[in-house]
Amino acid sequence: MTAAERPDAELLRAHADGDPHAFEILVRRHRDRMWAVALRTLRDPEEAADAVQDALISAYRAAGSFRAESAVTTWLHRIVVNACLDRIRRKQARPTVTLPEEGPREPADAHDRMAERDTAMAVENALAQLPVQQRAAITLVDIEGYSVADSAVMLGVAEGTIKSRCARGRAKLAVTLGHLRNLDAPAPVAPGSVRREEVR
Amino acid sequence: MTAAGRPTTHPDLDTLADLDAGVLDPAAAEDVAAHVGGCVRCTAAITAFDAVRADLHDLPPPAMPDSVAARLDATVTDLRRRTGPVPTPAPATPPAAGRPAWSPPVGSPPAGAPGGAPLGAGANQAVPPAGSPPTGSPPTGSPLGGTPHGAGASPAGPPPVADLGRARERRRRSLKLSTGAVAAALVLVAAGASLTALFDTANDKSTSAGAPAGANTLPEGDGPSEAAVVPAYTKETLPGAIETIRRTSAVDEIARLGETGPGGVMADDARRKACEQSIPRGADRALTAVRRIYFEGEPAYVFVFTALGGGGPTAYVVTEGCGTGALTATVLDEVR
Repeated sequence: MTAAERPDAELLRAHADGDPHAFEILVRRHRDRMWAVALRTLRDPEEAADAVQDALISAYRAAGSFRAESAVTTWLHRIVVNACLDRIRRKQARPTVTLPEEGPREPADAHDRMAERDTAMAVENALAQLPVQQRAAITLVDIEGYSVADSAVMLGVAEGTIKSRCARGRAKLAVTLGHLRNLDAPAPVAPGSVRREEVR
Repeated sequence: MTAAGRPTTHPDLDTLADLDAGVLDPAAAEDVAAHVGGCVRCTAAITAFDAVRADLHDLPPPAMPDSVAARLDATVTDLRRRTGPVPTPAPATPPAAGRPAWSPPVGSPPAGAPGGAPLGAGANQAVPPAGSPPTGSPPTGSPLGGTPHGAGASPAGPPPVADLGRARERRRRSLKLSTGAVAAALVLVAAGASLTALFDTANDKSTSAGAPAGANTLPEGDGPSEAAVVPAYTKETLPGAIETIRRTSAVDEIARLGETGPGGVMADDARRKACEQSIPRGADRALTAVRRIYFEGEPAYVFVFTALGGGGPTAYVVTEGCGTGALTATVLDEVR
Protein backbone atom coordinates (compact mmCIF):
# COMPACT_ATOMS: atom_id res chain seq x y z
CA MET A 1 0.00 0.00 0.00
CA THR A 2 1.51 3.28 -1.00
CA ALA A 3 1.55 6.29 1.23
CA ALA A 4 -1.06 8.00 -0.87
CA GLU A 5 -3.57 5.25 -0.24
CA ARG A 6 -3.50 5.01 3.51
CA PRO A 7 -6.34 6.91 5.12
CA ASP A 8 -5.55 9.57 7.72
CA ALA A 9 -6.98 7.67 10.63
CA GLU A 10 -4.96 4.63 9.77
CA LEU A 11 -1.77 6.65 9.57
CA LEU A 12 -2.44 8.25 12.90
CA ARG A 13 -3.12 4.91 14.50
CA ALA A 14 -0.01 3.46 12.93
CA HIS A 15 1.96 6.31 14.38
CA ALA A 16 0.47 5.74 17.82
CA ASP A 17 1.40 2.10 17.49
CA GLY A 18 4.97 2.95 16.71
CA ASP A 19 5.25 3.20 12.95
CA PRO A 20 8.20 5.57 12.55
CA HIS A 21 7.13 7.01 9.21
CA ALA A 22 3.39 7.34 9.46
CA PHE A 23 3.42 10.73 11.12
CA GLU A 24 5.61 12.26 8.46
CA ILE A 25 3.24 11.10 5.76
CA LEU A 26 0.32 12.58 7.63
CA VAL A 27 2.11 15.88 8.10
CA ARG A 28 3.04 16.22 4.47
CA ARG A 29 -0.49 15.56 3.50
CA HIS A 30 -2.00 18.25 5.71
CA ARG A 31 0.61 20.77 6.55
CA ASP A 32 -0.43 23.28 3.93
CA ARG A 33 -3.88 23.53 5.42
CA MET A 34 -2.46 23.75 8.91
CA TRP A 35 -0.20 26.50 7.67
CA ALA A 36 -3.12 28.31 6.06
CA VAL A 37 -5.12 28.29 9.26
CA ALA A 38 -2.17 29.41 11.36
CA LEU A 39 -1.08 32.13 8.98
CA ARG A 40 -4.54 33.57 8.60
CA THR A 41 -5.20 33.47 12.32
CA LEU A 42 -1.89 34.95 13.39
CA ARG A 43 -1.10 37.01 10.26
CA ASP A 44 2.60 36.75 10.92
CA PRO A 45 4.62 33.99 9.22
CA GLU A 46 7.06 33.60 12.09
CA GLU A 47 4.30 33.29 14.63
CA ALA A 48 2.46 30.91 12.34
CA ALA A 49 5.55 28.76 11.93
CA ASP A 50 5.97 28.57 15.70
CA ALA A 51 2.32 27.70 16.15
CA VAL A 52 2.37 24.95 13.55
CA GLN A 53 5.51 23.53 15.10
CA ASP A 54 3.89 23.53 18.53
CA ALA A 55 0.84 21.91 17.03
CA LEU A 56 2.85 19.18 15.35
CA ILE A 57 4.65 18.36 18.56
CA SER A 58 1.34 18.07 20.36
CA ALA A 59 -0.20 16.01 17.61
CA TYR A 60 2.81 13.73 17.56
CA ARG A 61 2.42 12.97 21.22
CA ALA A 62 -1.34 12.98 21.40
CA ALA A 63 -1.95 10.57 18.56
CA GLY A 64 -3.03 7.89 20.99
CA SER A 65 -5.89 10.06 22.13
CA PHE A 66 -7.43 10.56 18.74
CA ARG A 67 -10.94 9.24 18.64
CA ALA A 68 -12.35 8.43 15.28
CA GLU A 69 -15.52 10.38 15.96
CA SER A 70 -14.03 13.29 14.10
CA ALA A 71 -11.85 13.43 11.07
CA VAL A 72 -8.11 13.55 11.58
CA THR A 73 -8.07 16.89 9.78
CA THR A 74 -10.54 18.34 12.26
CA TRP A 75 -8.40 17.04 15.09
CA LEU A 76 -5.26 18.52 13.57
CA HIS A 77 -6.91 21.82 12.83
CA ARG A 78 -8.17 22.05 16.34
CA ILE A 79 -4.68 21.56 17.66
CA VAL A 80 -3.39 24.25 15.32
CA VAL A 81 -6.16 26.70 16.19
CA ASN A 82 -5.53 26.26 19.86
CA ALA A 83 -1.81 26.68 19.40
CA CYS A 84 -2.57 29.97 17.66
CA LEU A 85 -5.01 31.21 20.25
CA ASP A 86 -2.62 30.26 23.03
CA ARG A 87 0.10 32.33 21.44
CA ILE A 88 -2.23 35.28 21.15
CA ARG A 89 -3.43 34.99 24.72
CA ARG A 90 0.07 34.72 26.07
CA LYS A 91 1.11 37.77 24.15
CA GLN A 92 -1.89 39.68 25.38
CA ALA A 93 -1.00 38.85 28.93
CA ARG A 94 2.40 40.40 28.48
CA PRO A 95 1.68 43.73 26.90
CA THR A 96 5.30 44.56 26.40
CA VAL A 97 5.41 42.08 23.57
CA THR A 98 4.26 43.65 20.33
CA LEU A 99 1.59 41.89 18.39
CA PRO A 100 1.82 41.85 14.63
CA GLU A 101 0.43 45.07 13.32
CA GLU A 102 -3.16 45.30 12.36
CA GLY A 103 -4.00 46.45 8.93
CA PRO A 104 -3.21 45.62 5.37
CA ARG A 105 0.06 45.70 3.60
CA GLU A 106 -0.21 48.80 1.47
CA PRO A 107 0.59 48.22 -2.19
CA ALA A 108 3.35 50.25 -3.72
CA ASP A 109 1.36 52.28 -6.18
CA ALA A 110 -2.07 52.96 -7.55
CA HIS A 111 -1.74 50.37 -10.27
CA ASP A 112 -0.88 47.71 -7.74
CA ARG A 113 -3.75 48.85 -5.63
CA MET A 114 -6.19 48.35 -8.43
CA ALA A 115 -4.76 44.98 -9.32
CA GLU A 116 -4.84 44.02 -5.69
CA ARG A 117 -8.51 44.62 -5.42
CA ASP A 118 -9.21 41.93 -7.90
CA THR A 119 -6.99 39.34 -6.38
CA ALA A 120 -6.95 37.08 -3.41
CA MET A 121 -4.60 39.48 -1.70
CA ALA A 122 -7.38 41.96 -1.20
CA VAL A 123 -9.41 39.29 0.53
CA GLU A 124 -6.46 38.17 2.66
CA ASN A 125 -5.76 41.75 3.66
CA ALA A 126 -9.37 42.37 4.51
CA LEU A 127 -9.39 39.20 6.56
CA ALA A 128 -6.30 40.31 8.39
CA GLN A 129 -8.08 43.45 9.51
CA LEU A 130 -10.79 41.57 11.33
CA PRO A 131 -10.67 41.11 15.08
CA VAL A 132 -9.02 37.78 15.77
CA GLN A 133 -12.12 36.01 17.05
CA GLN A 134 -14.07 36.87 13.91
CA ARG A 135 -11.10 36.02 11.75
CA ALA A 136 -10.65 32.64 13.42
CA ALA A 137 -14.33 31.77 13.02
CA ILE A 138 -14.45 32.83 9.39
CA THR A 139 -11.23 31.00 8.61
CA LEU A 140 -12.68 27.76 9.87
CA VAL A 141 -16.23 28.11 8.52
CA ASP A 142 -15.93 30.07 5.30
CA ILE A 143 -12.42 29.22 4.19
CA GLU A 144 -11.68 25.78 5.53
CA GLY A 145 -15.29 24.68 5.20
CA TYR A 146 -15.82 23.29 8.67
CA SER A 147 -19.34 23.06 9.99
CA VAL A 148 -20.48 25.50 12.62
CA ALA A 149 -20.62 22.60 15.06
CA ASP A 150 -17.05 21.50 14.41
CA SER A 151 -15.81 25.06 14.46
CA ALA A 152 -17.50 25.64 17.79
CA VAL A 153 -15.68 22.66 19.25
CA MET A 154 -12.39 23.75 17.77
CA LEU A 155 -12.65 27.24 19.16
CA GLY A 156 -14.20 26.18 22.44
CA VAL A 157 -17.28 28.35 22.12
CA ALA A 158 -20.99 27.91 21.55
CA GLU A 159 -22.34 27.43 18.04
CA GLY A 160 -24.28 30.66 18.31
CA THR A 161 -21.03 32.44 19.06
CA ILE A 162 -19.48 31.04 15.92
CA LYS A 163 -22.43 32.16 13.82
CA SER A 164 -22.39 35.59 15.39
CA ARG A 165 -18.68 36.06 14.87
CA CYS A 166 -19.00 34.93 11.26
CA ALA A 167 -21.88 37.31 10.73
CA ARG A 168 -19.97 40.27 12.12
CA GLY A 169 -16.88 39.39 10.16
CA ARG A 170 -18.75 38.92 6.92
CA ALA A 171 -20.47 42.25 7.38
CA LYS A 172 -17.11 43.96 7.77
CA LEU A 173 -15.67 42.13 4.82
CA ALA A 174 -18.65 43.02 2.68
CA VAL A 175 -17.81 46.63 3.27
CA THR A 176 -14.04 46.34 3.01
CA LEU A 177 -14.20 44.34 -0.17
CA GLY A 178 -16.59 46.76 -1.75
CA HIS A 179 -19.53 44.46 -2.16
CA LEU A 180 -21.79 47.03 -0.56
CA ARG A 181 -21.21 50.05 -2.63
CA ASN A 182 -24.53 51.71 -2.16
CA LEU A 183 -25.57 50.77 1.31
CA ASP A 184 -25.47 53.08 4.27
CA ALA A 185 -22.60 52.81 6.70
CA PRO A 186 -22.61 49.66 8.78
CA ALA A 187 -22.84 49.52 12.54
CA PRO A 188 -19.87 51.14 14.31
CA VAL A 189 -16.77 49.01 14.20
CA ALA A 190 -13.56 49.11 16.19
CA PRO A 191 -11.23 51.90 15.12
CA GLY A 192 -8.86 50.91 12.41
CA SER A 193 -10.41 47.56 11.93
CA VAL A 194 -12.23 48.31 8.71
CA ARG A 195 -10.96 50.34 5.85
CA ARG A 196 -14.00 51.61 4.02
CA GLU A 197 -13.35 51.73 0.34
CA GLU A 198 -15.75 52.54 -2.41
CA VAL A 199 -14.56 50.24 -5.11
CA ARG A 200 -16.91 48.85 -7.66
CA MET B 1 -31.01 46.99 16.28
CA THR B 2 -32.71 49.52 14.10
CA ALA B 3 -36.28 49.18 13.10
CA ALA B 4 -36.36 45.61 11.99
CA GLY B 5 -39.65 45.01 10.33
CA ARG B 6 -40.69 48.56 9.58
CA PRO B 7 -40.80 48.88 5.85
CA THR B 8 -39.50 52.42 5.70
CA THR B 9 -36.34 51.88 7.73
CA HIS B 10 -33.70 49.33 6.96
CA PRO B 11 -32.12 46.94 9.44
CA ASP B 12 -28.48 47.70 9.99
CA LEU B 13 -25.81 45.66 8.30
CA ASP B 14 -24.99 43.57 11.34
CA THR B 15 -28.63 42.61 11.70
CA LEU B 16 -28.78 41.58 8.09
CA ALA B 17 -25.65 39.56 8.58
CA ASP B 18 -27.20 37.96 11.64
CA LEU B 19 -30.23 37.01 9.62
CA ASP B 20 -28.03 35.56 6.94
CA ALA B 21 -26.03 33.57 9.47
CA GLY B 22 -29.08 32.26 11.30
CA VAL B 23 -28.35 34.09 14.51
CA LEU B 24 -31.64 35.90 14.96
CA ASP B 25 -34.39 34.38 17.01
CA PRO B 26 -37.34 33.16 14.96
CA ALA B 27 -39.55 36.18 15.56
CA ALA B 28 -36.87 38.70 14.70
CA ALA B 29 -35.77 36.62 11.75
CA GLU B 30 -39.24 36.62 10.39
CA ASP B 31 -39.53 40.39 10.69
CA VAL B 32 -36.22 41.10 9.08
CA ALA B 33 -36.73 38.55 6.34
CA ALA B 34 -40.09 40.04 5.56
CA HIS B 35 -38.43 43.40 5.10
CA VAL B 36 -35.61 41.99 3.02
CA GLY B 37 -38.02 40.22 0.75
CA GLY B 38 -39.48 43.52 -0.32
CA CYS B 39 -36.35 45.61 -0.28
CA VAL B 40 -33.85 45.85 -3.08
CA ARG B 41 -31.22 47.47 -0.94
CA CYS B 42 -31.29 44.88 1.79
CA THR B 43 -31.49 42.04 -0.66
CA ALA B 44 -28.33 43.45 -2.14
CA ALA B 45 -26.74 43.21 1.28
CA ILE B 46 -27.62 39.57 1.61
CA THR B 47 -26.20 39.02 -1.85
CA ALA B 48 -23.08 40.80 -0.73
CA PHE B 49 -22.64 38.26 2.04
CA ASP B 50 -22.87 35.50 -0.53
CA ALA B 51 -20.16 37.26 -2.49
CA VAL B 52 -18.00 37.49 0.61
CA ARG B 53 -18.41 33.79 1.27
CA ALA B 54 -17.53 33.05 -2.33
CA ASP B 55 -14.42 35.21 -2.08
CA LEU B 56 -13.37 33.40 1.05
CA HIS B 57 -14.15 30.00 -0.33
CA ASP B 58 -12.09 30.69 -3.42
CA LEU B 59 -9.02 31.83 -1.57
CA PRO B 60 -6.05 29.78 -2.61
CA PRO B 61 -4.24 28.28 0.37
CA PRO B 62 -1.03 30.13 1.11
CA ALA B 63 1.88 27.87 0.26
CA MET B 64 4.05 26.92 3.15
CA PRO B 65 7.46 28.50 2.67
CA ASP B 66 10.26 26.02 2.13
CA SER B 67 12.03 27.24 5.22
CA VAL B 68 9.01 26.48 7.35
CA ALA B 69 8.58 23.08 5.72
CA ALA B 70 12.20 22.28 6.42
CA ARG B 71 11.81 23.37 9.98
CA LEU B 72 8.78 21.14 10.48
CA ASP B 73 10.59 18.21 8.90
CA ALA B 74 13.43 18.78 11.32
CA THR B 75 10.98 18.92 14.20
CA VAL B 76 9.41 15.60 13.29
CA THR B 77 12.81 14.01 12.79
CA ASP B 78 13.91 15.36 16.12
CA LEU B 79 10.81 14.02 17.85
CA ARG B 80 11.38 10.62 16.39
CA ARG B 81 15.02 10.60 17.31
CA ARG B 82 14.53 11.88 20.83
CA THR B 83 11.81 9.47 21.69
CA GLY B 84 13.95 6.56 20.62
CA PRO B 85 13.24 3.30 18.83
CA VAL B 86 9.83 1.84 18.30
CA PRO B 87 8.96 -0.46 21.18
CA THR B 88 8.07 -4.07 20.57
CA PRO B 89 4.72 -4.76 22.11
CA ALA B 90 5.00 -7.35 24.86
CA PRO B 91 2.02 -9.20 26.28
CA ALA B 92 3.21 -9.16 29.86
CA THR B 93 5.73 -6.96 31.46
CA PRO B 94 7.02 -7.52 34.95
CA PRO B 95 6.25 -4.52 37.06
CA ALA B 96 9.15 -2.27 37.74
CA ALA B 97 9.33 -0.52 41.03
CA GLY B 98 7.57 2.74 41.13
CA ARG B 99 7.34 3.62 37.48
CA PRO B 100 3.87 3.48 36.12
CA ALA B 101 3.73 3.18 32.38
CA TRP B 102 2.95 6.17 30.35
CA SER B 103 -0.49 5.71 29.15
CA PRO B 104 -1.97 7.75 26.39
CA PRO B 105 -5.08 9.58 27.39
CA VAL B 106 -8.09 7.49 26.71
CA GLY B 107 -11.72 8.16 27.03
CA SER B 108 -10.95 11.81 26.97
CA PRO B 109 -13.97 13.93 26.35
CA PRO B 110 -13.82 16.84 23.98
CA ALA B 111 -13.93 20.41 25.15
CA GLY B 112 -16.55 20.94 27.75
CA ALA B 113 -16.24 17.75 29.67
CA PRO B 114 -19.44 16.42 31.13
CA GLY B 115 -20.14 18.01 34.44
CA GLY B 116 -17.98 16.86 37.22
CA ALA B 117 -16.13 14.18 35.31
CA PRO B 118 -12.45 14.82 35.69
CA LEU B 119 -10.41 13.79 32.71
CA GLY B 120 -7.90 12.14 34.92
CA ALA B 121 -10.45 9.65 36.08
CA GLY B 122 -11.08 8.60 32.55
CA ALA B 123 -7.43 8.07 31.96
CA ASN B 124 -6.93 6.09 35.09
CA GLN B 125 -9.59 3.53 34.86
CA ALA B 126 -8.78 0.13 33.57
CA VAL B 127 -8.19 1.21 30.07
CA PRO B 128 -11.15 0.23 28.00
CA PRO B 129 -10.22 -0.78 24.50
CA ALA B 130 -12.99 1.42 23.23
CA GLY B 131 -11.21 4.39 24.59
CA SER B 132 -8.01 3.74 22.79
CA PRO B 133 -7.29 3.38 19.13
CA PRO B 134 -8.81 0.02 18.34
CA THR B 135 -5.72 -1.91 17.53
CA GLY B 136 -7.37 -4.98 18.88
CA SER B 137 -4.97 -5.89 21.58
CA PRO B 138 -3.31 -2.84 22.96
CA PRO B 139 0.13 -3.95 23.92
CA THR B 140 0.77 -3.68 27.57
CA GLY B 141 4.47 -3.46 27.21
CA SER B 142 6.10 -0.24 27.89
CA PRO B 143 9.65 0.36 26.93
CA LEU B 144 10.26 1.34 30.48
CA GLY B 145 9.32 -2.06 31.65
CA GLY B 146 6.95 -0.15 33.82
CA THR B 147 3.85 -1.40 35.46
CA PRO B 148 0.92 -1.28 33.16
CA HIS B 149 -1.00 1.18 35.05
CA GLY B 150 -4.08 -0.01 36.75
CA ALA B 151 -1.94 -2.96 37.71
CA GLY B 152 -2.80 -6.40 36.68
CA ALA B 153 -5.51 -7.10 34.25
CA SER B 154 -5.77 -3.78 32.56
CA PRO B 155 -3.63 -3.15 29.57
CA ALA B 156 -2.02 0.22 29.56
CA GLY B 157 -3.27 0.98 26.12
CA PRO B 158 -1.23 1.39 23.02
CA PRO B 159 2.38 2.11 23.86
CA PRO B 160 3.87 5.47 23.24
CA VAL B 161 5.69 5.90 20.06
CA ALA B 162 9.08 5.19 21.43
CA ASP B 163 11.27 4.69 24.43
CA LEU B 164 9.76 6.81 27.09
CA GLY B 165 12.50 6.46 29.62
CA ARG B 166 14.81 8.83 27.85
CA ALA B 167 11.97 10.99 26.75
CA ARG B 168 10.67 11.19 30.28
CA GLU B 169 13.98 12.32 31.63
CA ARG B 170 14.36 14.81 28.89
CA ARG B 171 10.93 16.18 29.44
CA ARG B 172 11.41 16.36 33.16
CA ARG B 173 14.57 18.36 32.69
CA SER B 174 13.22 20.51 29.96
CA LEU B 175 9.81 20.97 31.45
CA LYS B 176 10.53 24.04 33.42
CA LEU B 177 12.53 25.63 30.68
CA SER B 178 10.48 24.94 27.67
CA THR B 179 7.47 27.11 27.13
CA GLY B 180 7.16 25.27 23.89
CA ALA B 181 6.50 22.10 25.81
CA VAL B 182 3.96 23.82 27.94
CA ALA B 183 2.33 25.32 24.92
CA ALA B 184 2.31 21.94 23.27
CA ALA B 185 0.79 20.42 26.35
CA LEU B 186 -1.88 23.04 26.52
CA VAL B 187 -2.66 22.49 22.90
CA LEU B 188 -2.71 18.78 23.54
CA VAL B 189 -5.29 19.19 26.21
CA ALA B 190 -7.29 21.45 24.03
CA ALA B 191 -7.31 18.70 21.48
CA GLY B 192 -9.26 16.59 23.90
CA ALA B 193 -6.42 14.69 25.41
CA SER B 194 -5.60 14.46 29.05
CA LEU B 195 -2.69 16.59 30.03
CA THR B 196 -1.82 14.08 32.68
CA ALA B 197 -0.54 11.62 30.17
CA LEU B 198 1.86 14.05 28.63
CA PHE B 199 3.72 15.18 31.69
CA ASP B 200 5.13 12.50 33.86
CA THR B 201 4.66 14.00 37.26
CA ALA B 202 1.10 14.90 36.54
CA ASN B 203 0.54 11.49 35.07
CA ASP B 204 2.00 9.86 38.12
CA LYS B 205 -0.41 11.74 40.28
CA SER B 206 -3.42 10.88 38.27
CA THR B 207 -2.26 7.32 38.06
CA SER B 208 -1.95 7.06 41.78
CA ALA B 209 -5.28 8.70 42.27
CA GLY B 210 -7.13 6.29 40.08
CA ALA B 211 -5.24 3.04 40.33
CA PRO B 212 -6.09 0.37 42.86
CA ALA B 213 -4.24 0.82 46.11
CA GLY B 214 -0.76 -0.58 46.00
CA ALA B 215 -0.76 -0.98 42.26
CA ASN B 216 1.78 1.69 41.62
CA THR B 217 4.30 3.35 43.75
CA LEU B 218 4.11 7.05 43.31
CA PRO B 219 7.55 8.42 42.73
CA GLU B 220 8.45 11.75 44.19
CA GLY B 221 6.72 14.26 42.06
CA ASP B 222 7.58 17.86 41.90
CA GLY B 223 4.13 19.06 42.73
CA PRO B 224 2.08 19.05 45.90
CA SER B 225 1.71 15.53 47.19
CA GLU B 226 -1.31 16.48 49.23
CA ALA B 227 -3.33 16.93 46.11
CA ALA B 228 -6.45 16.13 48.07
CA VAL B 229 -6.20 19.24 50.22
CA VAL B 230 -8.75 21.73 49.07
CA PRO B 231 -8.79 24.99 50.97
CA ALA B 232 -12.05 26.31 52.24
CA TYR B 233 -12.98 29.96 52.18
CA THR B 234 -15.87 32.16 53.02
CA LYS B 235 -16.88 35.46 51.60
CA GLU B 236 -14.90 37.08 54.40
CA THR B 237 -11.73 35.05 54.12
CA LEU B 238 -11.37 34.72 50.36
CA PRO B 239 -10.20 38.26 49.52
CA GLY B 240 -7.17 37.91 51.74
CA ALA B 241 -6.21 34.65 50.05
CA ILE B 242 -6.34 35.83 46.48
CA GLU B 243 -2.72 36.86 46.35
CA THR B 244 -1.56 33.50 47.67
CA ILE B 245 -3.79 31.71 45.21
CA ARG B 246 -2.42 33.82 42.42
CA ARG B 247 1.11 32.85 43.33
CA THR B 248 0.57 29.18 43.99
CA SER B 249 -2.02 28.24 41.43
CA ALA B 250 -0.76 29.88 38.27
CA VAL B 251 -2.44 28.58 35.16
CA ASP B 252 0.67 27.02 33.66
CA GLU B 253 1.42 25.27 36.91
CA ILE B 254 -2.01 23.85 37.54
CA ALA B 255 -2.23 22.70 33.98
CA ARG B 256 1.02 20.87 34.42
CA LEU B 257 0.03 19.26 37.72
CA GLY B 258 -3.12 17.68 36.40
CA GLU B 259 -6.51 17.15 37.86
CA THR B 260 -5.33 16.00 41.24
CA GLY B 261 -3.38 19.20 41.62
CA PRO B 262 -4.61 22.52 42.92
CA GLY B 263 -6.48 23.30 39.75
CA GLY B 264 -8.70 20.25 39.90
CA VAL B 265 -10.53 19.56 36.67
CA MET B 266 -9.54 23.01 35.48
CA ALA B 267 -6.12 21.57 34.78
CA ASP B 268 -7.76 20.46 31.59
CA ASP B 269 -7.17 23.20 29.09
CA ALA B 270 -10.42 22.84 27.22
CA ARG B 271 -12.52 22.75 30.35
CA ARG B 272 -10.73 25.70 31.84
CA LYS B 273 -11.12 27.75 28.71
CA ALA B 274 -14.77 26.88 28.41
CA CYS B 275 -15.30 28.03 31.96
CA GLU B 276 -13.15 31.10 31.53
CA GLN B 277 -15.12 32.20 28.51
CA SER B 278 -18.38 31.80 30.33
CA ILE B 279 -17.36 34.17 33.11
CA PRO B 280 -18.57 37.70 32.49
CA ARG B 281 -15.55 39.85 32.96
CA GLY B 282 -13.78 42.61 31.11
CA ALA B 283 -12.09 41.77 27.85
CA ASP B 284 -8.84 43.29 29.02
CA ARG B 285 -8.27 40.66 31.65
CA ALA B 286 -6.03 37.66 31.40
CA LEU B 287 -6.51 34.51 33.41
CA THR B 288 -3.54 33.98 35.66
CA ALA B 289 -4.56 31.46 38.28
CA VAL B 290 -7.20 28.86 39.04
CA ARG B 291 -7.71 27.06 42.32
CA ARG B 292 -10.08 24.40 43.39
CA ILE B 293 -11.65 25.48 46.68
CA TYR B 294 -14.60 25.17 48.97
CA PHE B 295 -16.54 28.36 49.10
CA GLU B 296 -19.05 28.75 51.87
CA GLY B 297 -19.03 25.00 52.17
CA GLU B 298 -19.65 24.39 48.50
CA PRO B 299 -17.11 22.90 46.09
CA ALA B 300 -16.10 25.60 43.68
CA TYR B 301 -13.29 27.09 41.62
CA VAL B 302 -11.79 30.50 41.90
CA PHE B 303 -10.56 32.09 38.69
CA VAL B 304 -8.12 34.91 39.15
CA PHE B 305 -7.71 37.46 36.39
CA THR B 306 -5.26 40.27 36.11
CA ALA B 307 -6.02 43.43 34.21
CA LEU B 308 -3.72 44.02 31.31
CA GLY B 309 -3.53 47.69 31.99
CA GLY B 310 -2.44 47.29 35.57
CA GLY B 311 -4.35 47.30 38.79
CA GLY B 312 -5.02 44.45 41.10
CA PRO B 313 -6.40 41.04 40.33
CA THR B 314 -10.06 40.26 40.05
CA ALA B 315 -11.28 36.87 41.16
CA TYR B 316 -14.50 35.03 40.42
CA VAL B 317 -15.78 32.06 42.31
CA VAL B 318 -17.69 29.71 40.08
CA THR B 319 -19.54 26.49 40.64
CA GLU B 320 -18.07 23.07 40.00
CA GLY B 321 -19.90 22.65 36.75
CA CYS B 322 -18.34 25.68 35.16
CA GLY B 323 -17.17 24.97 31.67
CA THR B 324 -19.56 22.13 31.00
CA GLY B 325 -21.77 23.96 28.58
CA ALA B 326 -23.55 26.87 30.18
CA LEU B 327 -22.97 30.03 28.21
CA THR B 328 -22.75 32.03 31.41
CA ALA B 329 -21.09 30.71 34.51
CA THR B 330 -22.81 30.81 37.87
CA VAL B 331 -20.66 33.25 39.77
CA LEU B 332 -20.84 32.74 43.51
CA ASP B 333 -18.62 35.63 44.42
CA GLU B 334 -16.50 38.31 42.91
CA VAL B 335 -13.43 39.79 44.56
CA ARG B 336 -11.90 43.00 43.36
